[in-house]
Amino acid sequence: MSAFFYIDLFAIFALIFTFILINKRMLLWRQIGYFSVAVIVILIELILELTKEFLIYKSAYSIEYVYFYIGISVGLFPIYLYALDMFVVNGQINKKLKNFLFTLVAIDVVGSFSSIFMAHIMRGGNSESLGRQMGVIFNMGVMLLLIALLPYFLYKQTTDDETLYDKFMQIASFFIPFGAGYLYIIKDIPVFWASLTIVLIVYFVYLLEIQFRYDIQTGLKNRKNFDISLENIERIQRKMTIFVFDLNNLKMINDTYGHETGDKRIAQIAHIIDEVFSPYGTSFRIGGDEFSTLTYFLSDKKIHELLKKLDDVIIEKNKSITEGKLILAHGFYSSRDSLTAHQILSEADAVMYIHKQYVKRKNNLIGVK
Amino acid sequence: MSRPLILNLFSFVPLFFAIAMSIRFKHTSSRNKYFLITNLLALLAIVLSILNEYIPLLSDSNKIVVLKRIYIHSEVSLYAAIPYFLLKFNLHHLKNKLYNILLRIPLWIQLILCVMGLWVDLYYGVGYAKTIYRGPLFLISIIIPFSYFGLFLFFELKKFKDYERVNKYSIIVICFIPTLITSYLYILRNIQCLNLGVSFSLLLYYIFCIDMRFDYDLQTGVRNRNAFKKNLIIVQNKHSQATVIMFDVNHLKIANDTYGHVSGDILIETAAQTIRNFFREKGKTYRIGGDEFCVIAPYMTDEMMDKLLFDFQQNIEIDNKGKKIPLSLAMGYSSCVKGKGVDEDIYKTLDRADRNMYENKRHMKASRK
Repeated sequence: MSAFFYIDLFAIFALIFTFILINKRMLLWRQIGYFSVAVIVILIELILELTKEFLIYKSAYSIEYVYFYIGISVGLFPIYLYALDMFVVNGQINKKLKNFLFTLVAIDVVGSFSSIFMAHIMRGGNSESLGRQMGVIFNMGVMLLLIALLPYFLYKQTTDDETLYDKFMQIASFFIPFGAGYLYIIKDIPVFWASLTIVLIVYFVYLLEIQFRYDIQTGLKNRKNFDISLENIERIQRKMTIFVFDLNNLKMINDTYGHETGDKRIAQIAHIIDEVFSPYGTSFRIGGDEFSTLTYFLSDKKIHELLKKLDDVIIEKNKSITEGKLILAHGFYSSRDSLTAHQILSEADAVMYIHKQYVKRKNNLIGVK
Repeated sequence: MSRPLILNLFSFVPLFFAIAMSIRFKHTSSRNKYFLITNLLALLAIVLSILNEYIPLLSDSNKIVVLKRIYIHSEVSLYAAIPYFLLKFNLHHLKNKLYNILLRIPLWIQLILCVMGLWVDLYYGVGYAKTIYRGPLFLISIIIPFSYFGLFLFFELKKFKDYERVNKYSIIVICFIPTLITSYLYILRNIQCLNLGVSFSLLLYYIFCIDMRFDYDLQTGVRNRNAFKKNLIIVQNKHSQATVIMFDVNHLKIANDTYGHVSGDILIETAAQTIRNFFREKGKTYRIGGDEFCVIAPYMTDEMMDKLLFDFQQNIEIDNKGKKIPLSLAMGYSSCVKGKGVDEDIYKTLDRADRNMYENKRHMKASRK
C-alpha cells in the first residue's frame, strides 16, 4: 500500500474527531453549519482519494473511475471554498454578492458532476473541444475567486485583540495548501486533501482558543482579557476612561427567584452595557456581577451623557420585567497624570461605591445584600 | 524524493502546529511542560528518520553500519520516552516517590539495552546488506512503550468515569487510532510510518485537552459553573445519592476594598486551591459564583461530614499562619438520600446546603462581634 494511503487514512480519523467536537461546542456564535459542510466535503474527497489509492494498489484503476474521481473531486472543491468563505464572513455579507457566489458555485458543481457522464463538458474527452476549455477556465475562475475572497474576509473579521500568535497561525495555515498544491502539480504527490484537513483543524483550534477570551455566559470579554487590556493600555500610556458597573441586587434575585432568573438578568445587563458603550470602547465581565468598560479619554460631558443614556435604557428595560428588576450602580474615572491603570480602576471603584449607596437608598435596599 | 521521506516531511506539519500551540501554555501549569517534551521528542524522532534516509549515500560502508546502528537504537529509546512523558503528563499530581521510581524503571531498562545494543545484537542488528534486522530481544523493545501507552490510556479513561457523556470514550479512542494502526503495521508487517501516526495523535490529543478546558475556570483551575450544571443533571438522572458542600469566601469585600482587587483575586485563588487539595480524593470542586464554591461528593453520613469539615477547618487555620489576609470560609452541607420511598431532588439538597452555609456565615459573624 502506498504511503499516501496512510496519510489519507489518518486525515480521515482527524476529521471525524473534529466533526464530533464541533457539534459539541458552539464556536463564538458563528454559523457552525458552514464549517460542518467544509469538513464533510474534505471527508468525501479523502475517501475518494483513498479509494483511488486502493484501486491502484489492486491494479484495478479504470478510466471510468478516473472520470468519476475527477468529476466529483473538482465539483466538490468550490463547495468547500464557498462554505469556508461563508463561515469566515459570519453573515456580514452583501446579499447580492452571496447570491452571485452561490450561483457560480451551483453552475460549477452541476457542470463538474455532469462531466462524469458526459466527459466533454469539463474534463476528459477531447482536449481540443471548446466546451472543455471553457469549462476548465470557468472552473478555475470560480475557485480562484473564492480563494481570493478568503483572506479578504479574514482581514475584515480581524478583531482588535488579536495577538502576534494569531496572525502567525493564520499565515502558516494559509501556506500549507499552497505547498501541497505545488507538490501535487509538479511532483504528483497527492497530499492536498490531507493538508487541507490540517488547515481546518488548526482553524478550529484557533476559534476554540479565541473563545477562552470571552465569557461564555454573556458573550462579553472575560476577566483574563481585561487584565491583559489594562496592561496593554498602561504600556503604551494612552489616556483612557474606565467605567465600572455592579448589578446591585443579584444576590437577592438569585435567592428569591432562583439562579435561572439571576443568569437571565446578568445576560440582559451585559447586553445593555455592550449596546450603549460599544461605539466608544470594549466591555468586560470582571466578576460575577461586576462589569467594566475601557474607553479612550472621554470628556465629563460625554461621560454623563452616556451614563444618562444607560440609565434610560435600563428604565425602559425594567418596564418589561416583572420580578427582580435591574438595579445598576456605576462609577467612572479618567486618567490623570501619574496614575497607573490599577489606580484608576480603584478610583472608579470608589466612585461606584458612592453611587451604590445612593442607588440603594433610592430603591429602599438598605440592608439587602 | 523517496516515499518514506515524504511521509516524514508530512508528519512534520501536524506536529509543528501542536508544538506552536502548546508552547504558549508551558508557563500556566507544570503539567504542560511534559506535553511539550513529548512533542519535542516526537519531532526529534522525525528528524532522525529523515537523516536516516541520507545515511546510505555515504561511501564508507563501515560508517554506514555504525550510523544505522546508532539511528535505530536512538529511535527505539525515543519511542519508549514519548509514551513515558505522556504518562507523566497524565499523572502529574502523583507525589508518591516509590511509584515515580517504579514508573521510571522500564525506561531505564530500555535505555541501557539500547546503549548495549550499539555493540551486541539485542533489539536490532545491521546486516552486511546494510539492512536492519530484528534481534532476539525485539519483543521487549515493543512491550515497554506499549505498557506505558496502555497505562496512559487507562488513566485517561479513568478520569472520565461517571463524568460527562459517553462519547468521551470514543473521542479518546479516535485520538489514538493513528498510533495504534502504525504500531500494528510496524510490528507485524515492518512498515515504518510510526512518526506519522504519532504526530497526528499528538495534535488530536492537544485539541482534546483544549476542549476539556471549557469545563474549567481559568482563574482558579477548578471546574466551572457550566460543568457544575452538567454534573447536577447527571446526578439527577442517575438517581444517585450525593453529598453537597457549599463554601463562601468571607471578608472578600474587605480585602478588595482595603488591599485592592489583586489581593481579592489571590484570596479566591487560595480558597480554590485549599478546597480542591483537601477534597481531591472525596469529590469534585466547582466554582459556582464569584466567591462561591461547591463540592459534590458521593454520599457520606452526617458524622463523617462533621469530622471532615472539622479537619478542613483546622487545615485552613494551619495554612493561615503568617498570612496578611487570612482565609475564612463559611460552609454548609446537605445530603441527598435515596431508597425506602425517599427520592430526593438534588436541587432541593443544594438549596438546603446553601441555607446551612448562610446559617454558618451568620454564626461566624455573630461570634466575631
